[in-house]
Amino acid sequence: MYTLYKRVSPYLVALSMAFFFLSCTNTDNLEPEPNEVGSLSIEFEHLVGGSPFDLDNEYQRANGETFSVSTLNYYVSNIILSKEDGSTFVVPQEKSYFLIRNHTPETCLITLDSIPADTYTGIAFTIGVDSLRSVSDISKRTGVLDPAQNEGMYWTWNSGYIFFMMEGISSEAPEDPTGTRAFRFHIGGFGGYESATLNNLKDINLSIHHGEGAIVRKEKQPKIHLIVDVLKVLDGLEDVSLEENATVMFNPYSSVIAENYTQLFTLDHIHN
Amino acid sequence: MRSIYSLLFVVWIFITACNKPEVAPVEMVKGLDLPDHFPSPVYDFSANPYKEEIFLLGRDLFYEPKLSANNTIACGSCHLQSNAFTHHGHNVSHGINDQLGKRNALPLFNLAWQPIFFWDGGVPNLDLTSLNALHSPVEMDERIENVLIKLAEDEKYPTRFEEAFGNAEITSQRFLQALSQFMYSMISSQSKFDKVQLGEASFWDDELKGQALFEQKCSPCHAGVLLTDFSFRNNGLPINHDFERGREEITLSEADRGKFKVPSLRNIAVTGPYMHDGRFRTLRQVLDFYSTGVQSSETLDPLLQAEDTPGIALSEIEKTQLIAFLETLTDYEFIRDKRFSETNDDFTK
Ligand code: HEC
Ligand code: HEC
Repeated sequence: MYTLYKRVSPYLVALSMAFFFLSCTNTDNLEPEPNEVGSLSIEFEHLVGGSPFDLDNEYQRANGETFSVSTLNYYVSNIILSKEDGSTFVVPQEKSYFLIRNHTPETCLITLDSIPADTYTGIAFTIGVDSLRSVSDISKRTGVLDPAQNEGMYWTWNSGYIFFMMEGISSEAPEDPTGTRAFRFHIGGFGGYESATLNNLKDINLSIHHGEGAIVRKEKQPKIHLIVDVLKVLDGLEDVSLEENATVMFNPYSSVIAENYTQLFTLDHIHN
Repeated sequence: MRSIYSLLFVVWIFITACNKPEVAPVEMVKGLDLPDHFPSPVYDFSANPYKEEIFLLGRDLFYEPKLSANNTIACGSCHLQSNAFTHHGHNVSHGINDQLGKRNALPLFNLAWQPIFFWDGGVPNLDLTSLNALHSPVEMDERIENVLIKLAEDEKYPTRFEEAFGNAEITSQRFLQALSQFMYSMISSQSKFDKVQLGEASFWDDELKGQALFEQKCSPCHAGVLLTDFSFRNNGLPINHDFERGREEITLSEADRGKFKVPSLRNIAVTGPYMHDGRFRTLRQVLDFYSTGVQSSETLDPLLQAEDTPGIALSEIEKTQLIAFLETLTDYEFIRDKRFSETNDDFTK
């Protein structure tokens, strides 16, 4: 009996070690199971330059102008996740519209579910609402696309969503009849329904430069942490003078601000 | 080889089965009298099929002052049935707190055939038109979210929504579809002009001469049985571009400066004042303008530049004849139809 045990034990040890390693790889989820899905969240953290961003707080820009922001809302849509090998996962259209509202922190953290288990190293999305949805039937305009639920992010006289809204006060902005020095950026334009016009839809493409990608598993929900530098709306590719451009809505200058907001986003890090 | 043919046949069946029929199937527009002499409508009835209870709800909403910020103005305040649903006697519409808009109210009829809405074509779908009036600060100055709350708190509307849609939930989609349903049902097709087309009546002498003139001089724009081609054109009205740019406000293209949607001329005798800003009170003034007032500009329509002086040459007699013809476009049955009236006690379904 003893000899048998002695003879078998090395095998037993080997076997149990094998089990141990196997179960290890299982908990580490190195190999996702076929058809395994999980969820992933994306956080939009707003900053001004390097400092925290607070509504109604006064900031100063490089050109000396001061400003505070009372509203910052924008649409994020058509999200695409990419992997290291270049292949992608396109989040299904009907689950891919989000309205980020700085004054409502819950909206700054979005969660995508039913994502195939994999490791994602990049993310792309659109700022705005694509032209297809912009002209869609009223029955498809639910949730944040419902003009009754999107806090005025919609032009009724020129049917279309406002993609990006930033409003606030600047001592350099001209005084309006009520005595306030307000600036208002309402940026939209999906390219026009019948005839081509302004197109301010912008695609953002971000990927990680170091460290590990977002590992999506059934039991694990990674978080992609984006930093959104609000200052770039004004000091982006081009300087937007609040004195000269306090009101920018549906006019050609809006494309300058739209170009600027392509610069807002950086993929800072990923929590796995 | 045979099997290839049968395969092709099956594929063909699939393809033809997927093709949309030219005319909307009858059951989808049940309850609506689509005139035989009209082209196919462009409104997608299948997304909002006619139902009597939805139509009736839409009518109540159309005449409901709660749709405005201070509960004083209804759609029907500016769109009056006796004037084919425009605002008679006001050049630019008077809205809430008597504020003036910059545009003259448009009449409402045959909206299911209309591909694009408002003078500048800013709205591509009938279901989205109500939002425009609702949100306009010079019209109703209200927000749809507030309207939905007011309706939900009202004593009658929850039941009315339930009758129409099966439960009492009041959503923007239902609200807009009910208004659309009332509006797309407003079909005007019983004028003398229609009856002549159908061989049920004939024109008098002046009307006949007027028709010939109209076909020659006006039909290129005010075209066909709907009396518009729905294009955007500049007909030469002098306008102040600091204040009004027409279609350019939507497309931001200078080529569209001063262009407006060609309006239908149906019911034109009762829809004055005329033009996007209501500058003319009478049809005679309109014709005086076409004969002597047309101003040339970069975007003036080429059709109005065909003669030596811009515009359309018309003698006084011809103007009288044209007016005689234009008066045959009034559809008295439509403007008196109890189905569309605010007070419709004697209307039973
Ligand atoms: C204060 C007056 C006013 C009120 C109230 C009003 N409208 Fe209008 N309506 C107008 C004016 C003015 C226009 C044309 C505006 C333009 O084209 O810029 C118009 C145009 C329209 C059109 C476009 C017609 C076409 O041929 O393109 C529709 C549809 C319409 N209104 C529906 C409504 C509905 C539904 C309501 C109620 C929710 C409403 N309106 C309330 C003044 C009003
Ligand atoms: C080149 C195209 C064109 C031609 C030709 C034309 N019209 Fe017009 N018509 C328009 C346009 C565009 C408007 C709207 C202009 C505006 O409001 O700024 C209009 C407006 C009108 C209106 C006012 C409608 C309303 O609801 O306010 C009347 C009436 C009218 N036209 C009658 C005529 C008659 C009669 C003729 C022929 C003698 C004619 N038009 C020829 C394009 C045309």
